[in-house]
Amino acid sequence: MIEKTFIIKNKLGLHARPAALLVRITNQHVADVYLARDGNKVNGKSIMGILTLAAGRDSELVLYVDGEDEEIVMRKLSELIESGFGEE
Amino acid sequence: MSGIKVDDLLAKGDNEFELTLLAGDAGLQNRILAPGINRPGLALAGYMENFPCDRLQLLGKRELSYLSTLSAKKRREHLGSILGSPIPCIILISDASPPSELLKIAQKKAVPVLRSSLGGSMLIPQLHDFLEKQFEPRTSIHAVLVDLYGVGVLLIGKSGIGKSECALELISRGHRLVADDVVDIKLKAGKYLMGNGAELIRHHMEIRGLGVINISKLFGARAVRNQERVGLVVQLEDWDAEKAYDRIGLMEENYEMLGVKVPMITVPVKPGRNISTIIEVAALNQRLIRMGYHSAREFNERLIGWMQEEKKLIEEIKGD
Repeated sequence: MIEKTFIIKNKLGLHARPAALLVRITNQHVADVYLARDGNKVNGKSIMGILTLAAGRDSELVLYVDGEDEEIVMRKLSELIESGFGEE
Repeated sequence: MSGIKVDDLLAKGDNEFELTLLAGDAGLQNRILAPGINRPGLALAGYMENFPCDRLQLLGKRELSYLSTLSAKKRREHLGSILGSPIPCIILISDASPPSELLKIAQKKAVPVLRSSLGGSMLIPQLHDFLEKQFEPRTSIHAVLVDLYGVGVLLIGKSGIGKSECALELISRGHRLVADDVVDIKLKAGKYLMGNGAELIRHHMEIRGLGVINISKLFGARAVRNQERVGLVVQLEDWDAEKAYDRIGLMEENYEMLGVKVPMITVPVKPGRNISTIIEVAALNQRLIRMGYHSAREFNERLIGWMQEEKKLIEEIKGD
């Protein structure tokens, strides 16, 4: 299992559009993905779960990826989150 | 060839326009090539620039009394140039009596002169309506059109995906069939699409294993409609594990027909997914959007508001 911490950079935070982009990646792979914020941990393949985190700008998000393709999943998710989900 | 024949005007309804042919019977096969109606006032005065000769020409008492003020020579000359243009026909309103030159020239040039007993205010809107309908752009599409809560839902997708089966289930739940298999689509008023079925197969469906069934006989009058405005397109397709489906409802997909965009959703089909229920809810959601409530958008705005509120709180605490 790999783990990595991110800071949400885009203005609107982890709202519906970014969450949709996120689950699109996690659902394409077999690795289990979990996202945690302030002690709340949710399944990274569930869009409603991710939205309950209400991770706004500057909040800290921990990703846990576990499975045979964990490396590639983590790389793709890192790119997505670090790019601010393609938003400002 | 496009356009409609002058003969079609006489044949419409039980001579609905109350027309009598006065002259020019040889031209009854002439074509009306544009939906407008022209009152050739300027042409009667001799001005023929940009004369719209592709549409029908309407003369009323006003035009005829103007003609009577002209000298016989001028009258013949001006009528000659109008009737010499490739106009489809002339219609006289309110039982007006034409000058004899008009009938004579029209007969010679094979331009039908029709007289209606209806007045302009009655005849013109009726003619407009009739002509507009004949000239509406139309197309036909392989689909099923059902009416769900007043929203016309067009089901599209490749043959065998289950469009008809899905529609049948919706009908047995109390919704209405408009057309199965071949849906004729017409552009109305240049901005919305009206769908209906071909007359021959109207209200019939073909269900694999059952054959052809008559929906209005099986389910009664409540189960059918003759036409419906297309409000939503639902594209059915095989479930594709590789494809990303809309998970939020913020993506706005459209389906374009005759230059009009209709909201579209793509629904993947897979055993265990009750497609009819999904489509029923999609139609309801579309109704809600039309009424001004967009579930996905409102939800996202609430979420963003929540996140910003929380951030402000944290900053205030830090600031203290």
